[in-house]
Amino acid sequence: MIDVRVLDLSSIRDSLKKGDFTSKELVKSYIERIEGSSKLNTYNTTTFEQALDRAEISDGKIKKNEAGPLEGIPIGIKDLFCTQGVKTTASSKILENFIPSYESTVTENLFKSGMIMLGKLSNDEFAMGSSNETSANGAVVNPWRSRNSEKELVPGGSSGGSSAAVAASLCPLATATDTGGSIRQPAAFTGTVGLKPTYGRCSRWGIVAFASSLDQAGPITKTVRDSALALQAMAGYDNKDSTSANIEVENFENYRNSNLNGMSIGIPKEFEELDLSLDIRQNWEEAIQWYKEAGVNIKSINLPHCKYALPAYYIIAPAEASSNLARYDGVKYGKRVPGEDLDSLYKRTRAEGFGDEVKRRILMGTYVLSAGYYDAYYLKAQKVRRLIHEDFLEAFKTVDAILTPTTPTTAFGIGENISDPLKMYSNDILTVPVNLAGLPAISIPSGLDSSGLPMGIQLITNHFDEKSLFKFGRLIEESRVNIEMPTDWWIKK
Amino acid sequence: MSENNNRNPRFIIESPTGDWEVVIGLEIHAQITSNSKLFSGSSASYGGEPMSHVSLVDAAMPGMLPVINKQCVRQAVKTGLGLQAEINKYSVFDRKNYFYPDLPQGYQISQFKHPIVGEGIVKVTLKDGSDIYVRIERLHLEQDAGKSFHDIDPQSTYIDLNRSGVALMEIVTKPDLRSAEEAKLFVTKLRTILRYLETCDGNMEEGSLRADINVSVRRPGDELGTRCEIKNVNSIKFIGMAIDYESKRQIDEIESGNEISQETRLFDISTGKTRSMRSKEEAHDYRYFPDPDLLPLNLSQDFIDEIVKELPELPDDKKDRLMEQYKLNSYDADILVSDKKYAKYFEVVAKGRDPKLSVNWISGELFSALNRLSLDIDQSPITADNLGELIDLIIDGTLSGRLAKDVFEIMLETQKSAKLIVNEQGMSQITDESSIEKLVDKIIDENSDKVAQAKEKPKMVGWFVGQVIKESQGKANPSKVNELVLKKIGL
Amino acid sequence: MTISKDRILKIANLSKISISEDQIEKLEVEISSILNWVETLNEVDTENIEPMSNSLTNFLQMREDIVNDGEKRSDILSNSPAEDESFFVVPKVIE
Ligand SMILES: [Mg+2]
Ligand SMILES: [Zn+2]
Repeated sequence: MIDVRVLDLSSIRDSLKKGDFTSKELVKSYIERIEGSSKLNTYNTTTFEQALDRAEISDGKIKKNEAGPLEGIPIGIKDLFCTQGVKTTASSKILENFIPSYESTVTENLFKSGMIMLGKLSNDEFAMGSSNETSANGAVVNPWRSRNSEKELVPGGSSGGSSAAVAASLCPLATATDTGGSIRQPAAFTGTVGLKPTYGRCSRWGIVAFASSLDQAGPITKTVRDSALALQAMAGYDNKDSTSANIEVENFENYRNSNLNGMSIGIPKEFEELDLSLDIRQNWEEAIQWYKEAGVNIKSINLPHCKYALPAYYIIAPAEASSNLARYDGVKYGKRVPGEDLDSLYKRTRAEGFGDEVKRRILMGTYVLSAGYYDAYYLKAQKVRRLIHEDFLEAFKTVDAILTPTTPTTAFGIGENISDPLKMYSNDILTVPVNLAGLPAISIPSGLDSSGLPMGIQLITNHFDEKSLFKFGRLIEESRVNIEMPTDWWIKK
Repeated sequence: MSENNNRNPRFIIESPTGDWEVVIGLEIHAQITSNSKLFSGSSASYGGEPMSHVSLVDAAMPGMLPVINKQCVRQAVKTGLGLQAEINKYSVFDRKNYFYPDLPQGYQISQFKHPIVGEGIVKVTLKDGSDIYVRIERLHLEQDAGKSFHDIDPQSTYIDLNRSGVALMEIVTKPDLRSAEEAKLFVTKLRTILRYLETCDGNMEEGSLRADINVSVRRPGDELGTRCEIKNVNSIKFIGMAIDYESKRQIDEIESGNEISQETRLFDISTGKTRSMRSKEEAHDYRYFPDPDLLPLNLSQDFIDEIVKELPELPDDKKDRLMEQYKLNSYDADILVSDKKYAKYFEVVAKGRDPKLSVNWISGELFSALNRLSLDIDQSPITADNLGELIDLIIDGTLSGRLAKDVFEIMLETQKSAKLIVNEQGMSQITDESSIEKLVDKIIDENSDKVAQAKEKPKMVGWFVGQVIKESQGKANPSKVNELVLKKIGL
Repeated sequence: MTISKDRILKIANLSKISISEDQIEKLEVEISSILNWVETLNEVDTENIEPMSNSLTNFLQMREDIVNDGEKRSDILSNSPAEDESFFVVPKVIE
């Protein structure tokens, strides 16, 4: 068996090309590791047989020099991406048996580039959550634990299955989606790299919608380089998505090795005032120092409206969700709980099909859109959204990137915050403004806190300037203290 | 002009308690003529096996997204121009949220705050020849829902999504109509305009044109009363019946001391009555908000200008021109412009011929024949050119009016030209005096007894004329026969 | 801002989600606290600010009027919980 723990996307690509191992050997190695890692509860569905068949085809292509750019490399797919013929549940009971007849554009792009799906990764139900505890399949467990502790921690959410799987080397790349931080926060909690591309960069076609104006697909990987490789394969204009940007996909891998000297990074004053853990605050200061040393100008900037991003988000996202999730009504597909009449069929299906967090958000969203409340809540939030957007545009007149921590704390215990929605929501305080403004951002592991848990630094750039994220991001990887792999404590032997 | 509409009651319902005025506004749902649906590439054609014209988008599968059809946008703009309305270059698609099994998304994509077309106007000519002007409030684009069948199974409703996502224009009038008659004439006129523009086929049986009717009653001069909305009426006749029933119902309610409650009602074609809709009892709250899957629509002036160039001559302009160019009266012109195919046919027939005679043949013989055969004018067995030739033969005296009618019937059957029929069957009129004289002499000889009577009662002359024409198999020129009969009898 | 039980029942009805009595009380507390929290938006002066629905500043792209989809009956019906003669079937709706 290949030791997949030491591999990443780009090294696998090179090894497959050189013939160090075959795709089939590689897939088998991942399968064995996934089978030993059921304790982490990352995969909702596995597609091992298909994967092995596909690997054979890929090996043939590699031999014949017909390989795609990521030929024969395994991938985990967040269970929010519709995959043709493979159960897609959004980790919700309401879609527990749903098998799409279609393939999402992003997964289709990845498969076209040669990638092989190992299975579908758990997430917070309909991507609503920051801890992956709301999945109908139960909580996903973070492969990281505090030093000298056996307490099980959350992997972050909503892409917690994706982040935990990459961190535990159960796939070298996982797709994820980010509506308010759902790629970056779990990446920070698991010591992985999470990229949320610019809104419009990756097609939303075939991805189960949460909040349409905020949702964006992106990769979770082990390295910045892998993130660039993955984005390259995922992104692209799609005429089936009216919000897909018709912008050329550059060669992102090229931007990793640029000189940062003379460039500038903004540090938002308002973020300094937030309630951040001491370790995180120190880590942020350290990162600033790394950039200073690389000749980057550090500027203090103002994002005066960002402190309103979280409440604005918790109006806008539920509003859109309340409408997006109306289609799950027990009529056309998915779960149906019979009722004596149509109304009770609807109400029972949705009461039993949706979990508590999803229901709370649907109710909240319905409320803020309802007659008499629309202006005070929804419209107000949309106006604040514009102000937040303008704050960023103003800042990017003077800086090339913005640097903040990704999360206010490191990973917390399973069950610790689940009963307090507001406390849970505060996890996203540093990531949500980026979604409201539609900007690209990346979370990069930047060190371990005093208890040995990974921390993440967030870089934000202007619309469609992902290349600068990669350009700046490399420095974090080079400057941080070496982050060990999580120990394989969960492995069944 | 519209001010006047509203100030002077045009139509009054008299009642022992005093006069009532009915106020009507319409929301017309017109299906846009297009190949594919508003937001998906499935066929917009009518009918088909259940669930055949359905894409993943139309069925609201998870992750499906709408992409707008350019032709539907063009059709809405074209219609707006035809209604002399302002075109809003900036418009926004909103979601109208409600649960219904034939609404797969759980919302309808529509336009709420920023419709694609703003205020316009439609001129309607009433039976007495006077004109009213009905103001259009707005026109917006939206999706149609699927179709529910309540009669397939006693316990269940069956849902077909073939209609789901088909493009509609909702055309909303101001409350400018005052009677069932006006509403019917308005819808007829609107349908004519849509057909001229080719933006909607106006086929009410197939549901291409449906009206939601807002009806209220008031004492003349009072503020608007509480209105009821009658949903989805799909024939012009039923629109009239629904308004008549509903306005009487409201007057009765008020006169019995009750108040009108604002509600949605259904017109029952079997009883001719309206009734409250049970399923709509609970107060609706549609929670409109901009569809986050769609960006605002922004039309360029070029886009609009190109559509302006394609605009056909519309019924009002056509009527003016026909009256001016052919000196037609308003009545005849109205008949001809009520369908642009009529006017087109007419203009071929009337080219170089007497326009009045042409109209009379079209609206008389031709229309009744087509009606009898259930044919549309463009399926007419008699082409416009052939009808023109027939009229030529009347004018040059080859055919009498009566003979022409016979030739017309043969033309209908054989599709041959008038000249060919006249030649083949020797049907031309006998006009030479000696031939007619022979016939007259023969009839007088055979009926000498009646000659005496005719001298007493000159009305008998008609009988002689008739006999002569009969004898000639209808070919003898009637005025010549008349002249000779009078001479021979000595009157 | 707190939300009343009555209002919760109304929005639950609009959302077509049945909720039990004890859930109502829990939701009353939770939603009220969320509403209180989002009140902070009132600190922001949004006079003359246009609402923003999407961060993209371009406009809608239109597709040509071509029939290139549909005719997917088996795909449409394959996940259906109740189907007969190619129709979706629901309990009788009375209009
Ligand atoms: Mg209406
Ligand atoms: Zn409508």
